[in-house]
Amino acid sequence: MATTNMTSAAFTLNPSQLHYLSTARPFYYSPRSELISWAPDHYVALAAPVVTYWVASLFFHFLDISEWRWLDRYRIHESAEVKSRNLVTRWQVVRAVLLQQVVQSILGYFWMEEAVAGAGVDHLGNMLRLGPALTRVMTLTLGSKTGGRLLDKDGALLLYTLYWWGIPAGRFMFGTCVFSRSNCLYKL
Amino acid sequence: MNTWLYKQFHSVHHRLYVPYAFGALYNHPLEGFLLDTLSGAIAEAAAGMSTREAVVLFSISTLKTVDDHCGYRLPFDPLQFLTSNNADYHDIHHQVCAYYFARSSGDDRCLAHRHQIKLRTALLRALGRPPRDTHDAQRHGTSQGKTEEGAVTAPSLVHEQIDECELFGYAYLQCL
Repeated sequence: MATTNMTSAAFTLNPSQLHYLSTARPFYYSPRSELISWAPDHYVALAAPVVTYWVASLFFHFLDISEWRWLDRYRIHESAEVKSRNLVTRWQVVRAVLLQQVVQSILGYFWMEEAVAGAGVDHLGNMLRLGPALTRVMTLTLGSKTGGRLLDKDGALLLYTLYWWGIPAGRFMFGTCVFSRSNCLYKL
Repeated sequence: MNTWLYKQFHSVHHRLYVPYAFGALYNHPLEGFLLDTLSGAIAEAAAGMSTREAVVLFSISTLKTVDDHCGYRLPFDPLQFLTSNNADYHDIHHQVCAYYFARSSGDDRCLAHRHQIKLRTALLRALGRPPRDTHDAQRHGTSQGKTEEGAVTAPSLVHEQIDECELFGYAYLQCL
């Protein structure tokens, strides 16, 4: 492998590539500083699990009481005899869950920090800062000739994909991993 | 699995012998706080997520746990196929674990014993081994007849069945 000093080489992009990176955004992106105009993002993050929980639960509860016949083959439920073996009533469950959600929201209120989002973030700068690392990886895996060629041709697209899809997906999977392991410490 | 921890904390969640959607987060408060709330916060921080990414993480994990306890095997529900601890698993898991640690009162064990037979059948069916009982009898939960190996003293037979489950029952293995 040629020992070209790729690591410190400036990650140069031509104007059209720079323009692309400055303007192209994925479908999920919102430049607004708040996702919902009347609710700051860090409060939305606290409300999201609570709202999701009840909307989803009510959906299934609705299925439970609907008595639609076509659902019967999809129910896993046991007979009424076994259901009566639940040691707590539905209302006890609702109260306990609400308590947990209140405690969770209080913790989250102090834990979550307000952070700039949307157009206030220098996305272009962040992407360009990934340049050297991307270059290093490309040259390591493909060699400096092929790697360099690909970077010249599609560098902007690679950066875009890495920044808006690759890294977030990686973060999500890592976060899910951490959460599921800590969520079942002794249960398994 | 730590039996003491189970009895102190996780058994609360298993008071729901038959889980339903909004029982997914029914926990001992400390367990709920440590294992759900705190681990969510740590996961978000460890992954360096932005607030909006955290919204996605929290929403999807909440959705998944509700879906896992919903008691429906809906074919158009992608979450059911994503992992192995889906609604089917939880349905059996809640019964197996709750039974095993049930208080040993006479009536309780007797009822639980009858139920254990149905449970074993359900487990075997879930694993693709045809049960000896008829499918319909199992599905509709009829408890008359169909007791296998004769009804004997609950403790010993139950242990034998549990051992058998241990050989085949992934849900039970997860429980212990």
